Amino acid sequence: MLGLGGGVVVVPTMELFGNQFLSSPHTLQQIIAASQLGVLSVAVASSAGYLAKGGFVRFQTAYALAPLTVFGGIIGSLLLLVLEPKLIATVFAVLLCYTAFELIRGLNKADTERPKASKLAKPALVFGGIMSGLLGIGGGTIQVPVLNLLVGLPFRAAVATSTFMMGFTAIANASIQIASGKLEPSLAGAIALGILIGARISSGFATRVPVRTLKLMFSALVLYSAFDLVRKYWL
Amino acid sequence: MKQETPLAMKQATQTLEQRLARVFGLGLSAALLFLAIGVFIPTVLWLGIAALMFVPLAGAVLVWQDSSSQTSTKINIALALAGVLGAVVIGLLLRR
Repeated sequence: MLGLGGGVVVVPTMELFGNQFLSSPHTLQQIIAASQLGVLSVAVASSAGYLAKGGFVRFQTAYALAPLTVFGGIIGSLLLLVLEPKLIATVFAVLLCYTAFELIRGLNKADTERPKASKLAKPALVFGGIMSGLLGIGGGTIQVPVLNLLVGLPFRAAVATSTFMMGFTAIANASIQIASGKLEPSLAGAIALGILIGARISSGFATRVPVRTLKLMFSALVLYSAFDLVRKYWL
Repeated sequence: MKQETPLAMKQATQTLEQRLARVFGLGLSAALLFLAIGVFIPTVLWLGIAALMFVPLAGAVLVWQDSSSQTSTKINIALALAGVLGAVVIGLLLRR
């Protein structure tokens, strides 16, 4: 509904509460690797819905930009394997604050349309891909504003096209984690199953809650997660 | 003729979108089923994961094969698929 891959919720939530409920503790890297499957679940489930409604996904734009996010995702996934968890947590906290800022800023914003794509769109999408690989997120926090403001798609089309593109980025990111042996199937399967079930349930519920309320609730969760990550790794 | 082309393209896109919606819907149901079974039989989890990963790839193949797809779109699909293949190779190299 908000065009997010779910990683911005899954990773901090698992980091916050996951180890209390799981039999064995998991590192931030393991959670991020498993989150890629969650992102893929969101991408497939949301895309299925948008494709069934028809007219929302812009295939040409999606496939024109997918190689950029895939390329960025590979770089991000490689960085995940070498960077310190403290640094990753800090980057994540900054991105979470940015997400909350964008959501709150866009509460009363009218939909904008741009006739020609900006030159900044491509580097911005590579950056979005890097963030998705590094942090285990779908990249919607970056992709949706880029597709809407820089590429010029209407907001709904930007959300649908972003989720469609996420599938490819998540496959590339998950492939690295699976092939390198970093993905734990039980954790990834549990996250993916939970997200798929949640997506089915929320599809009916979400239409009754105003988007403004959803965005505010989500912003509060995101800001709290950012604060907790900083507290855990820095204080 | 000029008036017919956009309509024909629109119809072709709609048909492609419907086929994609079917593939995504089927893949989603299969993934859900295998992941649910995987709760009890862990080996089946991999089938659910494979089903999830298969869906966008199958979608790309459908778009590639569609007659309405432009050459630039096909090149971009090939680049994205090459990226996925590259990711697998990098992952295998990292395992060593």
